Amino acid sequence: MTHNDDEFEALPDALIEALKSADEAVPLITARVDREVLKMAREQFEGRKPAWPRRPAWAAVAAGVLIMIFVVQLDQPTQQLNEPMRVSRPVDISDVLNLARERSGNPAAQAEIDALAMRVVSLSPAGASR
Amino acid sequence: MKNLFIALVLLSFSISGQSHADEHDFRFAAVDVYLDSAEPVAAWQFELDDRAGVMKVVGVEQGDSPAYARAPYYDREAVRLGDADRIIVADYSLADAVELPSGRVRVATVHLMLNSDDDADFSLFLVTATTYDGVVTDARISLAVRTGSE
Repeated sequence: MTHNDDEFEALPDALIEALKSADEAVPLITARVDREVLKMAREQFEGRKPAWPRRPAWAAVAAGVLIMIFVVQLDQPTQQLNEPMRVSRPVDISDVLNLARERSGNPAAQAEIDALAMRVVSLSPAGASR
Repeated sequence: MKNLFIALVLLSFSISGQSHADEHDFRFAAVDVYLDSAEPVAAWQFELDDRAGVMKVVGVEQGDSPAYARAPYYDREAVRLGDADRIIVADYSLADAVELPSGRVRVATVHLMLNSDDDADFSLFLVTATTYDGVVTDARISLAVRTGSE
């Protein structure tokens, strides 16, 4: 009696027979068969496009740029209340007029208005209007 | 004797000052700046320069319009220090549109010291003139020079 036969003694006969019949040699797949299967698979799926086409490299670059822009915008300081305008052109007296109208009725704002006006007319390079 | 000494010292200073003044010939002039606009002007700004490089601004006076009753804005510190060889002058008015000036109006007078017998070569540039509605108006700017002597 072998070791395996000892183990089978505790099992039902039907199960022992089923296990013995399932215990067959593993089918051997040679390298040639493997290549053939690979070849057939390639021929089968050659014309099929993937459901999600591959994005070109520039799409990744564009996404990176968008993320960078978003991060830089988050890093920008918010507009201060005492800086009433951000204009791309040099500040001039029309901006002072707009500020004076916005602050109309607030006597405490006169100093702020005068400061902007003095910046407009300053002759120094730092405060020059043009 | 002591009084005589003081008088001599003062006299010497006086003579010295007179000769110092003679070395530097300068004149004074006033430049009236006029703005000509078909529409009422709520804000204006100009720059006056001298291409000959002989002028120093010594003061700025307001114009004729009651809507601009106070002295206009200019770099008072540069004028005080004698550094204003050009000047930017500007003012705004919160008056109603009917009270704002239109047509030809003197908006400012710039008082100058001319440091040479050479004539100044003025360059007058209108930076902006804005209507009551905040629109830049097509205005013209001009000047008239009044000269005097020391």
